[in-house]
This record gives sequence, structure tokens and C-alpha cells, in this order.
Amino acid sequence: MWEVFARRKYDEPLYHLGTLAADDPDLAVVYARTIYNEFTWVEMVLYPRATCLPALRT
Amino acid sequence: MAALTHDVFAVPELIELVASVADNKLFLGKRYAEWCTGAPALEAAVAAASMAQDEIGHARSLYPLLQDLAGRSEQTEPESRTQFVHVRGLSSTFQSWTDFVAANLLIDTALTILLESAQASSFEPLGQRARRILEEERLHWLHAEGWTRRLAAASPRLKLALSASISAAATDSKEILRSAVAELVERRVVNANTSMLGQKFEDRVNPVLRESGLLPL
Repeated sequence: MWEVFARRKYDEPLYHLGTLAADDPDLAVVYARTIYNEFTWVEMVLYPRATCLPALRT
Repeated sequence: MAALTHDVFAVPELIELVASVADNKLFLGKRYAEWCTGAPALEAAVAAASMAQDEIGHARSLYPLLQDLAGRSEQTEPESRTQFVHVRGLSSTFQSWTDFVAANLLIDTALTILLESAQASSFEPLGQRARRILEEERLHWLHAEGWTRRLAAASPRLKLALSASISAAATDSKEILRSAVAELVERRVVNANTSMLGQKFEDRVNPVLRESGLLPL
């Protein structure tokens, strides 16, 4: 599972768009670009959820 | 300007090249679209829809060039055209997802290689469209690479099926490159002939095939 973030302007923060499932990093990039294509982004990043460091759990 | 373009460039070889790229892209888009609801995952279905839209859009951007070169007629209008020039593998629905991936890896890439050779074309309208199309093709290549690796590693059965699909698509992809005839190289419409493009094509796809444990072309 990958978490996808993007921003529309460089002076805006990245914000969370959603998630996607892919077991290959290249496919994750393709899926992120084709699923979350509602705007002309200036930056899009994604990272595997498994690498997330939990800071708080309830 | 249109008259000058027609006079200087309206040679049968260029008309054939533009028709071949436009028609093959149109039919590749149609074949991709058929998998929008049949792909193995929701994400892959969205990617198939997006790539179908890209390919059909590329074709639509090329048909006006065909009209400039060959004149307006029923056969140069995309809506009324019936005599399409596309490779055999695009004439009917892909039978499996491995056929989709093989066409993505080989037929889509052959069209990309052909358009790369036209980026600085002396026929500037073709060069302009080629540069624009190639920007969108980067994602198609990533999709092909990713799925080739994934299917080849998934199971021996899938690897065998992918290998068979690749063998079938290989012939078609080489046929696409035949449009880069010597006449067009001399006129600087494209910067490399069929043989050079064939080598470039193999240099691009063979590392992916080898890395996936598949036989190179």
C-alpha cells in the first residue's frame, strides 16, 4: 500500500490525496499519476505505508 | 503555409508513416480501452483507461496531418475512415492481460521509438506532435516495465503466457518500424532508418526482458 501526496503550487504544503495498492514502485508511480489526475500538480510524492513511523497509536 | 507543406512533404512514404502511426495508436487505444473493466486490479483498470485516452488522443492529433498531406476525404477523416493501416495484433481484442502487457511493452514502445526519430523532423508539424506525445509515453513505458517484471515473477504459468504474448507482439512491433524508409531519412523527416530504429528498440526492451528472465528479441 502506498500513501500519495501532492501540491498544486510550490508555496503550498503537500497534502494527502489517498492510497493505492501496487507491489512495484514503477507501477505505483503510474497508478498515482493516473488515479489522482484531477489537477495539474507541480509535485507528487508517494511512499510505502510499511515505512511509516507511528508517532501515536490509540 | 499549408500549400507549401503539401507540396514539399506530400510524398507517399510520409503519408504512409503518418497513417500508420495514427491508425496503430487509435487501435492500440481501443484495445487498451477494452480492458478498463477487466484489468487484474482497480489501479490497473484506471491506468488502462488513462493510457487508452492518451493513445486515442495521440491518434486524433495526427489525423489532421494526414489531411494536410493527402487532402480532405472520407479516408482522412477519423470518423469516416475505413481503410486503417494497423498491425495484425491490434485487429481484435486482447485475449488476456499478458497480451495487453506485451502490446504495451512492444507495440507502444515501437511507436514511441518511431516518434522519437521524428522529434526534430523537417516536417515540423510532425515534430511538434511527436514531442508532445512522447511526454505522455513515459508513463506507458513505466507501466510496461512494471507489469512485465510482475507477471514474469508471479508464476511459471503466467511467465509462459507472457512469453507467448511477447513473441506474437514482437513481429507487429518490428512491422511498425518499417515506416522509417530511406526516403524519409534523406528528407530528414526521421533521423534513422528501420534497421537503426530496430536496434534502438531492442536496446530498450531487451534489458527489461532479460531482467524478467524472459528471452530477448
